[in-house]
Amino acid sequence: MTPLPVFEEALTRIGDAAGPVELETVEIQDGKGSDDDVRAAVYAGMLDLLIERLSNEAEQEVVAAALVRGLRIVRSAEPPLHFAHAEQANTIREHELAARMRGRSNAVTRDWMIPRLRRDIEAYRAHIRALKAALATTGGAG
Amino acid sequence: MTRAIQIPREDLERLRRLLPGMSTTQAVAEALTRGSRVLAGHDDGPGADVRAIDPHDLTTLRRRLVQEAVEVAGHRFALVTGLDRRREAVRRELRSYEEGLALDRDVVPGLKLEAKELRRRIRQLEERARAAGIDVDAVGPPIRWSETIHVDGYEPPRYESDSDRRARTVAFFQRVGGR
Repeated sequence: MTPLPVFEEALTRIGDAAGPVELETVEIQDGKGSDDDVRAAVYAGMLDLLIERLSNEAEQEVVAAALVRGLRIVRSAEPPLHFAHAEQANTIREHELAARMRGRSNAVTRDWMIPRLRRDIEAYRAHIRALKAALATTGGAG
Repeated sequence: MTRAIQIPREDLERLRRLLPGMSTTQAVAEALTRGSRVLAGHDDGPGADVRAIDPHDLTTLRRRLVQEAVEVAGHRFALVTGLDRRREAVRRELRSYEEGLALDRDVVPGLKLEAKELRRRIRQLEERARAAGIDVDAVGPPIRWSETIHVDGYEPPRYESDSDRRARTVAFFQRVGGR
């Protein structure tokens, strides 16, 4: 493939999260900053290489036009990705919140209500035994 | 120091094709060095109108494109990895409902109904004891009623099975169809 389609395909794919995306783990020597910073630098390097290859093989006007087109490609991809990411973050927060609230409610049932009901039941049984014993002394147990 | 990071495989393959003859580790290291240089000290801030950039100013165009594409790649990565987080969050929520349902359906009703029945039995026996002249307050061990869980009006929740729903639906349509 010539550099121009490779370049444009790379930019289009970078902005496309619709299909399945398989991740690969790579070892990095000396990456300063967070993983996101390192990844950003790797992408910057890759894109710079793509542009360099394009610049080496095409006229300046072609390169300029490709860069302007490339900028339009990434700028059109940014808002939907940004929105989808924000929406996803909200959904995750909602699920996590629901799980946490439900978890607390379960903990109250499991650790407070059930032991207390069992304790009440024990007390009721003891009281019933005592009442029956008292009634037995009067001949009225049953 | 070595660290492991994740990158979409298709982007790594693109990088490997750009740097043939290098191992993945070498290609990533090369891109990292080059990219760090490109990004260092060249943050142009929010995107300017493409039309406002001189199309002959390749340096600015190139820098802007790299900066903005990197940002988009970051959003995409966050979205992709977010899918796993979302699945995990859904799984945790579902598990919490299942646990709650198991407690509310299998454990709590039995205990509450048993407690309700025992309280009813106590009232009955106390009534008979009073009738027999027994001071029920003196019969031990005493119960601190205010500290017990009130279950006298408790009715267990009704859970419908599929067959219940089906039978009701059939009955409904039989009734409606009979008009």
